[in-house]
Amino acid sequence: MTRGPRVARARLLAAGAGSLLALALLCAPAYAIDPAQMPTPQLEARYLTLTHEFRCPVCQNETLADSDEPVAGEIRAQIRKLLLAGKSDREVRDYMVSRYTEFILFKPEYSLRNAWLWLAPLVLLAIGILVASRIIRARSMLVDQDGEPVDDDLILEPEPPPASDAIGGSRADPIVDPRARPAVKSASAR
Amino acid sequence: MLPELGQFALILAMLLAFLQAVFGIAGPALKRDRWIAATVPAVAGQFVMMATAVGCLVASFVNFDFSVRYVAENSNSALPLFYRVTALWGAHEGSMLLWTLILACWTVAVAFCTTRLPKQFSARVLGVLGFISFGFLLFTLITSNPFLRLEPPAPDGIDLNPLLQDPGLASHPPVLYTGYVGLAVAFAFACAAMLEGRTDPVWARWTRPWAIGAWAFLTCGITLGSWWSYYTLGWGGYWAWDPVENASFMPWLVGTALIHSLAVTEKRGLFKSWTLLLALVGFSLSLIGTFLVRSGVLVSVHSFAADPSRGNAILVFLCIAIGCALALYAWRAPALKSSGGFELTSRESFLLFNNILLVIAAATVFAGTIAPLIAGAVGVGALSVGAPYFRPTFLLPMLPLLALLSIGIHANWKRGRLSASRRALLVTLGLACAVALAVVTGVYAGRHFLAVVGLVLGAWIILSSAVDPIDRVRRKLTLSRGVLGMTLAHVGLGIAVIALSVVEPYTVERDIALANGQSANVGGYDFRLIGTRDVDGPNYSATRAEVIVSRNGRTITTLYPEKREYWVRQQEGTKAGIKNEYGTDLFVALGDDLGAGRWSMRAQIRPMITFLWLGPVLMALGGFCALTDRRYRLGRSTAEALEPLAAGAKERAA
Amino acid sequence: MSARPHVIRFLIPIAAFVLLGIVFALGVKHSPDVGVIKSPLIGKQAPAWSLPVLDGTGQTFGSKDLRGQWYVLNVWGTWCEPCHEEHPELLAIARQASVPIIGIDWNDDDAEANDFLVKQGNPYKIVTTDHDGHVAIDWGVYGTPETFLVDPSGTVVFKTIGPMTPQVWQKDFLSRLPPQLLEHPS
Repeated sequence: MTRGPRVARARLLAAGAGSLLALALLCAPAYAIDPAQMPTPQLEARYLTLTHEFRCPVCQNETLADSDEPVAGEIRAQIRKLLLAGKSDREVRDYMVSRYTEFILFKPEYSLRNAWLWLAPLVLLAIGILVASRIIRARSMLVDQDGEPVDDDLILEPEPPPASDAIGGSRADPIVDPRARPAVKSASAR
Repeated sequence: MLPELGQFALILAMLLAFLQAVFGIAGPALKRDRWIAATVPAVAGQFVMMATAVGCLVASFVNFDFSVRYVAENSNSALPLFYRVTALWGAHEGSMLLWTLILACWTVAVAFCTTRLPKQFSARVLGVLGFISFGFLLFTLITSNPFLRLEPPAPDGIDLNPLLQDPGLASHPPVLYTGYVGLAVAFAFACAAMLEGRTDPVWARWTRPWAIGAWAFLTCGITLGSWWSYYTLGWGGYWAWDPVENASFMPWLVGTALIHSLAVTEKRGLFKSWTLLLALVGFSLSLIGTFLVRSGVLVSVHSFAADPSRGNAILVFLCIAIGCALALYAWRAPALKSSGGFELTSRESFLLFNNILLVIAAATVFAGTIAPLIAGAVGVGALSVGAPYFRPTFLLPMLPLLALLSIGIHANWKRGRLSASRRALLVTLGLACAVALAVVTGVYAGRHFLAVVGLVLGAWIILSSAVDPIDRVRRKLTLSRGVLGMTLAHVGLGIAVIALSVVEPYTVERDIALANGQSANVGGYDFRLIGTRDVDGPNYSATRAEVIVSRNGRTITTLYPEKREYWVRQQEGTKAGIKNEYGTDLFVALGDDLGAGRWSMRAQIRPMITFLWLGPVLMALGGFCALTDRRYRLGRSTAEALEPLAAGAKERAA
Repeated sequence: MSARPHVIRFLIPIAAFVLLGIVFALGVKHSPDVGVIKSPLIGKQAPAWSLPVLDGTGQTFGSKDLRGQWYVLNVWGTWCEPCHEEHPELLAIARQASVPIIGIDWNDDDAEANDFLVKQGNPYKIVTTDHDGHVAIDWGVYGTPETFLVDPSGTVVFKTIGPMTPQVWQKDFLSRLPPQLLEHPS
């Protein structure tokens, strides 16, 4: 299915090339440069925010502000008209949703339907804090039991000298480059 | 003949990959020494066949063989040689070929660098890689064969997408894929460790350089992509939170978590099962990204032609590969235990925070990316998720991460002892605040809260991570490559954070309409249109404007933005005129002829944007630097050291 | 820590992945519809509209004139290749069914549109012109051609995006029309 004149032109071309080649990118992104200005900076700012929050209904994942599709230009003009008529952002958003569904919104509504999406980061963060605190509590009880300290040198991260090759498991590590040792010694002598 | 030869080579490569998988996985399991020994030749053979196949397709491009469908779809007789070569990865089929070639390269590298590891282990690693390669080659041959012929041949090709006719395209996909695919190596190491039932953390040492290498390539690839979409208008700027961009960003976030948790596992033997899981998830996200991008399940600016049959094929492979790996994990991971302890202020804790926050960030991006899919699956109607969702939710885990970074690098293993570094921390924080305030009040007008926060955090990271290396150099102590790399990467991150904090709020961007001789003031700079003229390129005609940029009457530069019309696809392309002045980009793109000699134009002043590229480049350099650390070098003496150990014993038993 | 929850914890990743796989499989199933906006107008009152008629007489025509009857609203343009594709089908429908087809010529040149209709035949009872697209946008049109079916109360019953085909007409339009409209009036 084709939508919009750009696509239509691409179709013509593909047919004109004398083969049944399908174009890989049907809707080529092209940038809209739209010098239309709103009369006041406040309106201009609202206009820019709104057009960046809507997606172009035709083109692939472009914002309305960026899309070069003729439809996008017409919708932008309509939004300017609505803003100039004194409509609020909410009213403009509702206008768009009632015509193009919530698909048009790059910023999902704060609705019950989308609650999981908006709450996901907070829930994840809460789980993360919980898990981290449990792990750290459990591990900090083991600090005194697992014997020797790990070498203090934080900067060099050297090969652990044999003496401090602790229960952490480093002893099982056979890949130790002996040439690295002298550097380690000087470092831990610090 | 060449395309047929290429296809034949591709089939052979697939068969060899299959053998590599069977020998590598079944050999050690059945204790067949010959099978184990046969994996390396299979790897070499597969690589030669892959290179032959790719060579054949490149030759078809170079020789204008428009009887090959893929060539006819993606090139043209007027397309310059350079782009005829890079057109190889200009669309789905060829980019799959590139993907598998890069996997073959990584596999060869693994085969040659792991000769000192226990034979069974390296055979298993190669076997897992062979399985992945087999899956992708099978997929390519069945659903996306680039060697298909056209009957009758096309008289001429319909050209490479003009947007892809750019030096950026030449480098971005190969580098990005190198990073993507490199994560497969860490995945394979993790799978091999689980297959073998290893409970020691040695594999973490072996995996670390591979993970770091893949991560560094991924960093470069993402940066190149970002840079490319910034100067090629039409992709939504340097970062648009498009599904395709997210698909590369999620493995990067998890890969970043992985290289940090590998450090803990290697050093302290802690987080073993977590590190394994990250290694699996990192590459799984690469695979899932491939699925999301190529199956047409999501709407994206960069999407390839949608095809449900392809989607199903990738999905089946994805489920087998990831499903097996996670099943293996569920089976083996419970046996991994560690008894090491650490305190709240220890380095382990901070790396734990790092991991948790990075994974939360990745999960958030993931949730937003697949939310439209979930809404579709549940049937609650259409849903779109874009930058207005990702921006705030991404900052939520990121800001604490950046803040903790500066403290964490001063923490010692196990017991922290942060009090020893308290002075350094406070001094650097104070300095960072001073820098941020100076920048926000002095250099740029307008005080943005987030800009201040970002500047403080970024500057603090740079200063804080420089303290110890500088101290060490002053005291004439050695600085290992690993530490140097880490410092570079952290400084790079700090630079990127600072750049973002400035670019985002202080960019001035305006669309203007100018007639010849007219000028407009944008962000304190005057943009004067001198005139336009027509110029011809090799396969396009263009209108080139001459725009003089000046400030306070002093001419700074002349920019020549172009608006191109590519002949074959009759598609428009823009080439922006960009002048970099002390890290600030003065940017003009040419829009439409408005009639009566007037042209629409977009003018941008983007301060510090250069540092947005420089930061990640430093991060990647840091990664490459850490790779060369001597402890990753497996010298002869190491191999000897291995002999008496368990691995050697196993070998003798086999 | 008992053994059981310990093991279960390691099953979480694969369980999550199974769920994800199901979502992805459903996604692939729905993928042909990705990016297609289902009209929110269906079942709702059609937007009120009024536009100049293409004949150049300066008359206007709109929803007021269509109250109380079924009609098909077709949004098209001469620049739109799929509209050319569907034109013969629209002509066939105009010959067979007694439901009027109303055209909205969107973002087009009037002379070209007239020329096109003279040469290719005119399936429309009335063609109106929407130069800046404000009516089309009111109808939630984002591509062409789009064809709506509206009932006598002014409610939008159905909408299709893309060229009209005999299958779509049979399955989605005729089935929704009352039987008395199916025969040709003549």
